[in-house]
Amino acid sequence: MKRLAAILLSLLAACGPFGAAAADDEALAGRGRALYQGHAAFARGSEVTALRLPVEMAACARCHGATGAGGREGGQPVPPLRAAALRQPRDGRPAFSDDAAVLRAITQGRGRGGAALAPAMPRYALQVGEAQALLPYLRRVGTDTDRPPGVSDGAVRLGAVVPLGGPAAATGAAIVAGLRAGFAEANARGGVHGRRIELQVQDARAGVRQALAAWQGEPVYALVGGLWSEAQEGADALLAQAHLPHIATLVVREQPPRAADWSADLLAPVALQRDALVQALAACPAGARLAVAHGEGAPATASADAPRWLAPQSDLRAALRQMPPGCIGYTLASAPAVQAALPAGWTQTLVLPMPAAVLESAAAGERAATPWYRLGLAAARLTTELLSRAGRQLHERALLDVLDRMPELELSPGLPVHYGRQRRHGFSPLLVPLGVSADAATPTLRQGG
Amino acid sequence: MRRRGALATLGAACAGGWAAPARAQGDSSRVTVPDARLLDQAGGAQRLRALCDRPVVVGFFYTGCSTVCPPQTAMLRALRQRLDAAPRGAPGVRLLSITVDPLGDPPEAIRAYARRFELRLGLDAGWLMLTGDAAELRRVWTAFGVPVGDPEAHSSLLWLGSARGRWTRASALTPTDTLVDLLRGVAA
Repeated sequence: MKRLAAILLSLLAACGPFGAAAADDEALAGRGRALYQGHAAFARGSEVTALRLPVEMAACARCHGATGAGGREGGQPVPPLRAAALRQPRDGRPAFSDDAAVLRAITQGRGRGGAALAPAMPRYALQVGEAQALLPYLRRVGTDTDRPPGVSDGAVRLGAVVPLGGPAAATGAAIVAGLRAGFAEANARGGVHGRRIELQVQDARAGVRQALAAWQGEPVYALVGGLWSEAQEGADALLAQAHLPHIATLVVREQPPRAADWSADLLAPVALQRDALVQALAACPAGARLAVAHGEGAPATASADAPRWLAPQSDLRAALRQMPPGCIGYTLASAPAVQAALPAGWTQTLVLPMPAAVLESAAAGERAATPWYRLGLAAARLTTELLSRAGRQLHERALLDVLDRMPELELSPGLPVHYGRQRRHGFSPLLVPLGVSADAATPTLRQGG
Repeated sequence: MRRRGALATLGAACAGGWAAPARAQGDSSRVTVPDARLLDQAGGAQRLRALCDRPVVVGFFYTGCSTVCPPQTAMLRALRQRLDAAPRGAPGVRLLSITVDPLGDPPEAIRAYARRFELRLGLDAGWLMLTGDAAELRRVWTAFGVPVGDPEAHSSLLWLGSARGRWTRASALTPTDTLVDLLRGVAA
C-alpha cells in the first residue's frame, strides 16, 4: 500500500511539470501565433525591427507566409520556417540545432552555422515574453495543430449575419435556408478535408459588432452570405480588424471591395451596373436617354451620348412626360418605381447585379427557391469550393488567397462567378432588354424576398 | 598586410554580392530614360527625364506588396537619412520610387503608404513616389527591365544613374554604405 502510494506520488511528480508545461506551451503558442500572423503587434511597435518597419508590416507571416512555407518575391528567396525545415540542413548549411539558434536568427540575423542572414530579414528586438511565445509556435506553424479560430480537427464553424426580423425577415430566412441547403450537400458528401461545415446565424439588425461579440467564446472561421446595409458603420473595418473574411457577401455595394479588404462580394457593385447602363443606352437610336439608379456619384454627363440620370425616388412620372420616348435603363431596385411611372413607347433595359438564372421562376419541386434562397445556396457552394481548394491547412486569409488565383467557376448551371487579384465581386452586371413599354407599362418584376 | 588584403577581398565579395554589376560595360549599361508623364504622391505632374537631371536612385514598388517592398522602403528611408546627414561626394541625389501597380496605387494610396513609413516626400525632400497612367508607366518599366503585367514579379533592383550618364544596378537591400559608395561613382 505504502509502496503504491510512493509510486503514484513519483508518477504525479513526474507528470506534473509536463502537464503544466503542455498547458503553458499551448497558451504561449497562441500568443506566438498572434505575433507571427500579425493579429497582435510587437510591444516595441516600429522599434521592434532595426529597419523600423511599420509594426503591422513586421509580422513574420508577411514574408514567410501564413503556413511558414516561405517562397520568393522580387527575386528574393524567403526560406521556410516550419520546424521540419529548420531541423534539416539547407543549401549546404547545417540545421538549426535548438531554440537558441532560431532565436539568434530572429534577433541577431545569425542563420545556419552562424552565417549572416540577408538584410531583408529584419533583426527583431523581441521582449522576453515575445521570444518565449514565438518559439513554441514556430514548432507548430504549418502543421495540422496550427489552426485559426473556428477550425477544429473535425469541423469548421462559419457565421452568417442576415436580417432575422423586421421588413427583411423573409429575405434573411431565405438566405439562411439556401446556406443550410448548400452546406448540407457538402456535409452529406463527408464535409471538406474531413471537416463538417457548421453554420451559426446572427441578426444583422443588431449590427456586425454585436454578432462578433456573440461569437467571442466560440469564434467563427469566416462569415458567409451576409446581408446588411453598406451604410452600416465600419462593418468592413471591423472585419479587417478581426482578421475575419466575409465570403460571397450579399451586401449591395457602391464600389467593389479592394483586394486588400477582407470581403468578397457575390453581387456586381452599383458603380459597374451604372457603367453597363451607359453602354446600353449609348446604342439608343433616337429619343431621350434616361437612366434610373440608386446611389450617389452618377457618372458626369460629359458627352452628348451620355444618358440623363434620375433617382428612383424622384418624380419620375413628371420627368418622363416631358421627354420624347426613347430608351430607358434602370437597376433592379429602381424597377418598381420606373414601371409604375413609364408611359408607352420607351425601349427598356434592366441591369441585374447577377445572372438571370437567379431570378428564373422556381422549377417544379423547388418551392423554396426564391432569388434570395438561390443566392444563399450559391454563397454556400462557393465557400465549400474555396474550403476544398484551400486544403486542410487553413489560415485566416486562406479562402481569399484562393479567390486571388481562381479561374471562372460555375456554381450551378447558369451561375458563373469570376474573381481575381483585382476583382472581388463574383457576378458581372447583366443587361436584360425588356422591349418597348406599353401604356402603364408592366412586365412585373418583383425583387425576391 | 595580409589582413588588409583579406578585408579588401571580403569587401569586394560583399559589393559583388549586393550590387549586381551593370549588365555589361559600355552601351548596355546605358538606360534611355523615357520622358514619361507621371504623377507624384501629391498628384502633381512630373516628367521622368527632368527628374533624372541629377544622380537618382530609381526603385520599383507597390503599396499592396507584402514581402520585399516594406524592407526596401525602410532601407531607402535609411539611405535618404544618410544622404541628408552626410552627402559626402554624392550631393543632390534624388530618390524615385515608381509603382508597378498603377491600378492599385493612385496618389492617395501612395500617400497613405508613405504615412505608415513616416516618409518626407517632395522635390525639396529629395524623394518622390510616382504613379500615373499605365501606358506611360509601361515605357518606364520597359526601360528599366521591370516585368510588365504582374506586380508580384517586380524585381527588387535599384537603378543608380542619371539621364545623361551610365547606370549601375544594385539589390534594393544593399547596405546603405555600399549604396553611398556606388552613388559617389555615379555622381563622379
